[in-house]
Amino acid sequence: MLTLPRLAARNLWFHRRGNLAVLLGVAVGSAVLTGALLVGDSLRGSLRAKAERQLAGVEAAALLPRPVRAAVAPDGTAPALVLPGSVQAETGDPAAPSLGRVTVYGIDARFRPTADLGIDWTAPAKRNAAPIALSHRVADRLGVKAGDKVRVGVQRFSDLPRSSSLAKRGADDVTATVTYTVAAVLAPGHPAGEFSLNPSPAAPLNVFVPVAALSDQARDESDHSDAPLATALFAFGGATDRLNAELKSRLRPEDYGVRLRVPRREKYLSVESDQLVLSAAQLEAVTKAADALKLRAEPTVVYVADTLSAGTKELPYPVVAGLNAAAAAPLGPFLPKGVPALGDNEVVIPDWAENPFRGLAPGTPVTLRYYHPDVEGEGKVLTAPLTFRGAIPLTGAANDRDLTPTVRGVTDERANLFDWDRPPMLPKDRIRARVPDNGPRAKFWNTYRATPMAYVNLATAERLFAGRFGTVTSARVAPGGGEGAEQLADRFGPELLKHLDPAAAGLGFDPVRERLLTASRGGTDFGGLFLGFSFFLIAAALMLVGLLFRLALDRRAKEIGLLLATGYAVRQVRRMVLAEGLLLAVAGAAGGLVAAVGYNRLLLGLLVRLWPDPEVGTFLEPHAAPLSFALGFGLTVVMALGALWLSVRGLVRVAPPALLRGETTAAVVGPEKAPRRARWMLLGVPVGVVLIAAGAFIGNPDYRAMTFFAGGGLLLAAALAAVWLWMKRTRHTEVNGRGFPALARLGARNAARNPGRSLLTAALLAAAAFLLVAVESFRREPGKAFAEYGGGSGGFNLVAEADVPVYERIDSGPGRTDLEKQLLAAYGGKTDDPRFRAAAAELAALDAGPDGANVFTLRLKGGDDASCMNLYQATRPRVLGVPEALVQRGGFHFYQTEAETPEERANPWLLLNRTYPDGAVPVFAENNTAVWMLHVMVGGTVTVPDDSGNEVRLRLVGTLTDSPFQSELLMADARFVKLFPTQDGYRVFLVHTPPEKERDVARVLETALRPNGLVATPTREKVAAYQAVVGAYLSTFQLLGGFGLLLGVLGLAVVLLRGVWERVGELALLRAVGYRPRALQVLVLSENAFLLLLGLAAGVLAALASVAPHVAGGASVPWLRLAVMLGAVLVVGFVVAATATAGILRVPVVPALRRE
Amino acid sequence: MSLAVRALSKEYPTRSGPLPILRGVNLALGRGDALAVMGPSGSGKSTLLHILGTLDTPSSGGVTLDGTDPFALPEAELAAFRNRRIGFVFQDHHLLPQCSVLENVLVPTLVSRGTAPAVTDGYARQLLERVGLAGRLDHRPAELSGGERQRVAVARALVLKPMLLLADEPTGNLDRKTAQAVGELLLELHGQENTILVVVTHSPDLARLFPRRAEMADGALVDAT
Repeated sequence: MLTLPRLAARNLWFHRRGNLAVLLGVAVGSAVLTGALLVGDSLRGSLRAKAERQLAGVEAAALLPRPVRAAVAPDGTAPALVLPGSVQAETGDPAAPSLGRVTVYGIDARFRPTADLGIDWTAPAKRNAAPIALSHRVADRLGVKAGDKVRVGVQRFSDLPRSSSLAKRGADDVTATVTYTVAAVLAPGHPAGEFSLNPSPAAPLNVFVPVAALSDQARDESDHSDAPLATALFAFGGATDRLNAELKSRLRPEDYGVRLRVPRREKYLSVESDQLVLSAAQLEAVTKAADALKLRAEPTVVYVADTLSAGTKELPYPVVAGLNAAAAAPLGPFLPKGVPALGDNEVVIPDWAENPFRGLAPGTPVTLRYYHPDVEGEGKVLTAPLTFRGAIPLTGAANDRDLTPTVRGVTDERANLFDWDRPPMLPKDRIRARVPDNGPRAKFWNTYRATPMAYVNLATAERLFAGRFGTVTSARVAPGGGEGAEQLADRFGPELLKHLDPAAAGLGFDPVRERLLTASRGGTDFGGLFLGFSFFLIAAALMLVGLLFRLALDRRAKEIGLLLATGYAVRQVRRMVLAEGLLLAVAGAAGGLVAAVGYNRLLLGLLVRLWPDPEVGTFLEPHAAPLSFALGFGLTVVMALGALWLSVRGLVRVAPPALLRGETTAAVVGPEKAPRRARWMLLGVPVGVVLIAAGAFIGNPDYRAMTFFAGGGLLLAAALAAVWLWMKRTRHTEVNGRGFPALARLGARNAARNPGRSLLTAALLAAAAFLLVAVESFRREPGKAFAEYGGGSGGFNLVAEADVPVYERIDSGPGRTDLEKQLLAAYGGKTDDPRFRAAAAELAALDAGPDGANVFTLRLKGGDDASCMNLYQATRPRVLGVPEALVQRGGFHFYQTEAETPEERANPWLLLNRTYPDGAVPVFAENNTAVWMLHVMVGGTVTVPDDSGNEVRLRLVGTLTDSPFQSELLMADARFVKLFPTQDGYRVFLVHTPPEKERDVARVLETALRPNGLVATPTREKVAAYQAVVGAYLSTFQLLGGFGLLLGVLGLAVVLLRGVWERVGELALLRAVGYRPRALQVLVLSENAFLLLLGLAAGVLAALASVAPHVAGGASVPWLRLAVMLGAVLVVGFVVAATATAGILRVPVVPALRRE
Repeated sequence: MSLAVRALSKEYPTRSGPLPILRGVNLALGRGDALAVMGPSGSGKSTLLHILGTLDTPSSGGVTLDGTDPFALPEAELAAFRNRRIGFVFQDHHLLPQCSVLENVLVPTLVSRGTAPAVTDGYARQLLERVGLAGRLDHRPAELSGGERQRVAVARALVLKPMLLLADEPTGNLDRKTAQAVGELLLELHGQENTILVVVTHSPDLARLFPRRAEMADGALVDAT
């Protein structure tokens, strides 16, 4: 029995050809929509899978800020000494292949990822003969195999900050290079080769060596201990809390960098830092422990100054102590008779035989010259006026060489004053000149070693010698009654541990797996991004669905008319037709899900092909989440139904008698209402032009871009409104004449027969063309202005980054000398080697020129790569410290800034020196990084942890464009050293060279600083790589927009077919009166061409108008590519139209006329 | 009277001003009445028929069928009214090609309320038997001749026992002999069902079969009996 559902089903089958087209249209929409969501799934899934591979089973890790004893590793965890470094094939040739940015893992048998290699990591090996396992990437790039030798360079540890005036900073002191024998080359995909805890898609360059060997290599030369060290503890399971508890139970004070020293006099306990000065946290713990034990503790500052002088009398290199001079024994006193306490800026001097100040009257002015505690680059000598308060006997507390902490090579028993040799402040030759062997200073050293030669109060010392690492060098703790210093040490250590917080000291496990998996969700919502990219494709597919459905319905106009005539309500007809549509939409959407899998693969393939880093192709693979299928299916069905509803709505408005006659549009009778809306839209021309013109004067680039696009959009709308008005015109120009022109004019007139339909098609083509052209104009490459001072490069040809910091300027002074030494060493120490001579000559390019320095050194706080190259979420971006010299120099191209004053506008870098009431630190970032990776706008804030783990607010005060700083944030150096005091030295170098010297200087720098793992890259190349990522996105956007355009062309063909179908009788009549089929085809195709050209022209012209200021500003538009792209659309449009119309034009004349 | 048309006018707006199609048409027909309306093309015959069938609306004047003014009804009720009270036969049969003969007759019943499907199905079969197509129930329209198709259309128009049966050039596409047969069938069924039958035709032969005839001229209806 016939029922409505059966009738609907019967209809579906009977009109299967038309319905199939609708179904396919829906399937395309579903495939595109779902496919875009699957791209997001694939990115997330691939990054997650990569993260899991990278982790190699590690669940938690303690990444330690300083090396600790490997013995602290809790059970079940693997200690490792992880150091950045460089590797070079050992061939005897300085030009042998080498690699920087290598991660060197010192491991033992507990490190699971290398367990299958069969290497005994604990077997004793001679220096320069220990085994090394190389990841295939390292081995491939070095061209080495098992059995070959490689040289591994790493940063050497130091027992005091490298930037301290007493620290050695020479390249040989900072780095250590040792030869290893390649025991294994890891196969591609080996867990150890992929091992990395960094949220970055960059391929890790891993090498593995025995932890004992690496500890030995990295240990300070004067450190003769042999316990294996660790900077990381890897846990392959277990709760973080349990691991932290176990780690805490194994920690000793020295693991916190605190040592308890019993002086020779054994009168007190000296609590010192292994980094020269106690941090605030360490000092607080000592104080609390002393309080808990009811003991006295005296903070003490000891500092090596340059000169203490009074008139013509002077003492070179005095050791000055700052302390509580009135402290009771055994911690004092240090006061002349009758003096109760030392005031600020007062100094007392021990009396010794050849003391140059003997007899100096109390109250005499004394001058202290001393070095600024932080020495990087040239260093600074400061002067402090003091007042001589009196002399004290060099006995008792004053005769205590242990007041000065032991610094190996400086104050220890074996140290020699002349071996200090700490350029630039304490060069050996200067010491020797100022300290004759038989002079009083040398004699004092020989007798009293590092015993202080002057005392000031603690406040004065803290004011004069305050460095970013701290000031207090020790806390002296007095024993309780009857207690010896050794006994005190035994009970003070455990008490001290109670007050040292492992977490605050960075000695704790982090759930790194969780962090990495969180980061693997990506910095950008790729699903949303590709959905946005696919917007036009989806819109085009939906429009096509609507057109196809309407076409199918039009063929059923009489049927619908009959139903209405026999008493079906409009709602019932609509419901029945929509029910059919729903089934088509469901089937199409379901089919589209299958195609979505292919579409996803297509997009991924495209992304891999376009992405500048080929490594992405090694891990990017299709993934699919059920939710994406559900969303894609549901949204497609809803949107398709919407499109179908719009199609049906128009048809059921037609009167039943008209439908019964086969008419499918409501007859327009009577005088037409003027399309007022379209007339209003014509105002878009002047408004759009004004907007675009005004945009050139808007400072905010986002508003400027919005103005351009809004202006362009208005022009586009106005153009389409003009088309609409033309089609609605009562009288068109008379069609007359003969031949092709007349036929073409008639065809164009035919396009106006159904204005709504034609406008829809033209609008889609226009919008797609608008986007294609507008997007293309935003494709960038480093242009002519890039190399200039105000360009993206800031005038720097090279940007270099080292894994191991450099502590001196490399363009002058000791740093430059050291650079040449390093270069010489790289060439085997032969000064007559012509290759060395040629290379050394290249270094002249680094010398400061008349326009100022050619090299600027920047500090770097490591972190996540925040550039668009990193697909992971960058939660802790890298930070660069910009030296004041660079701030004052200015340059680079800014996208947007918060500059307010004329000075700031002239040089936006001055913004970095601003202070804010809320304590926010001003920073710059590359605009793309800020928008897409950090999701922050100028004026917004991001937070990063400082060296103490406190979250610091950073305010974005400006964004750069086309700069090489796309991976990091930039802040003023002065702010940097406060926030990140442990980040010693400089790791990033901006170098200006003559263009022709660029490659040579890069090569020479890399050769000289190979042990530092320095990699120098032309800024143009670096920026081009970033822009290639942007280009990849733009290309994808354009390709998908192009697909949308193609669907628009198909839509055009459908419109054409529909028009022809409606006019088949008319066309038959024309044939009957003598038109040849070819003439009819010209007639029909000219209608198609008219819409095609109209749409494309409107879109292209509006887009060109909107990007005109951008182009006038220097952007280059690839006209040829645009022309080819649009030309291809035209050709495809014509071919599709010709194919579509060919069949219909063969319809026999008589039946067609009879039908009419 | 069951069908009452009073001062019915219809005009269409054009660019040159209103174009009158019907001018004050009056008509009254009761159950069992049959009227043939003739007239030249463009005289307003079809427009009158469409208004009587509620497919079009009058510009002025009124139509009542069995005391009901259909144009005062909302769209859904108007559709139900048309479904229950009015049957149409068009010049073109407008059969659904995807449905069988029986199914085509049943199409109006699918949205009709108050009658059991079994009853309408039985009545449809009976009607098809009466129009001589009892053996063609499962055939598709494409398998029928022109006359047979029009007979199916007549059965479809009567399946819900309408009060008013309207036919717009029902024999226009048929040969003379078949046209005669279809005309006679219409009148026969009209008589059996006691409907009000209004036929618009150009065919004098068909018109002659009707007891009452009228002529449309310049939008006015003139009794020509």
